[in-house]
Amino acid sequence: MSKKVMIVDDDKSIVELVQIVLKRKGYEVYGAFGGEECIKSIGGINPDILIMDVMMPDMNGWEVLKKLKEDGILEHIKVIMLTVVKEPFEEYSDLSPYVLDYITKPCSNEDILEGVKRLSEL
Amino acid sequence: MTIGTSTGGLNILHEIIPRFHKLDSYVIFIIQHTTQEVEDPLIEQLDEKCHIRVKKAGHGMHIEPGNAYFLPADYHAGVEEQDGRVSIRLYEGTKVNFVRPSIDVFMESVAKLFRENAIGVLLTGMGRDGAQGMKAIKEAGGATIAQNEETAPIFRMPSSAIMLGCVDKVLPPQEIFTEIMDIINKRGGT
Repeated sequence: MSKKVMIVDDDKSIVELVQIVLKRKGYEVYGAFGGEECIKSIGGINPDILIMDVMMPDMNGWEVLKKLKEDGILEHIKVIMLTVVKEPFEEYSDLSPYVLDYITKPCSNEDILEGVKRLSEL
Repeated sequence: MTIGTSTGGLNILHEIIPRFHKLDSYVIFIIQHTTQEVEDPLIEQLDEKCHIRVKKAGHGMHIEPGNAYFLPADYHAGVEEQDGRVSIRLYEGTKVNFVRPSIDVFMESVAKLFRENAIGVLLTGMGRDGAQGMKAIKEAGGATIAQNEETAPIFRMPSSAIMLGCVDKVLPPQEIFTEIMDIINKRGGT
């Protein structure tokens, strides 16, 4: 059974590109164009892997994870953070156990694929 | 030796641990902040890739040199000696630095027991966990290594230790293994 991956980014071109790249490799991929859309739709998708952009205009990626944790959804999801910001939001340190990979933009399709492949094997 | 890491550390662990082909007199304790849901497959994945065995640490488990022990999520951990044998102690308790197991808590225990034979390695991660533990190892006469900024996805944990002035070497992952082996060889171990 193919793994479900959800990509959350306010940049539509990134969401669409990642969807194409991962679908070609056999993953079932869902996109959300922002944090609020992710929170609304993730319950019905139940992804194995969540690729989360940090800097989004509606809410930052760490806030989204915090909400998912409060809702009990995060426990079963492996998270890859995708960001241009190398320094962390320290107030979200308690979320660090859920984030298994941290990819800094700009990144290649291979970086994303490698991260998803590794987490999908867990 | 203790290798502690958090966010972004999984890839770095995969870069360092498989390089160890044989450890006769040392053990590796691995602390990767993670959750109970993923730790077992994560340990299996690492074990399959490594020459040395990577085992999940259990309460009361006796330490056997030559192995790596992955400390489980949601428990603090320490080492203790009884009747000449070193074993792992796991216990619940309030989170330290927002996490459990805390690298600080475990490294302080390692420093107390292994003293100048301890080696502390701190890799990428959010927050400041590990800085005080590295300081404890340094003050006990042990050796300390932190991942460098260029290769750390999140430099905060290594930089927190560096700011305390307790880090001997700041290195990229590929050089961390070499440095550890140099330290072990200089001490006359393998």
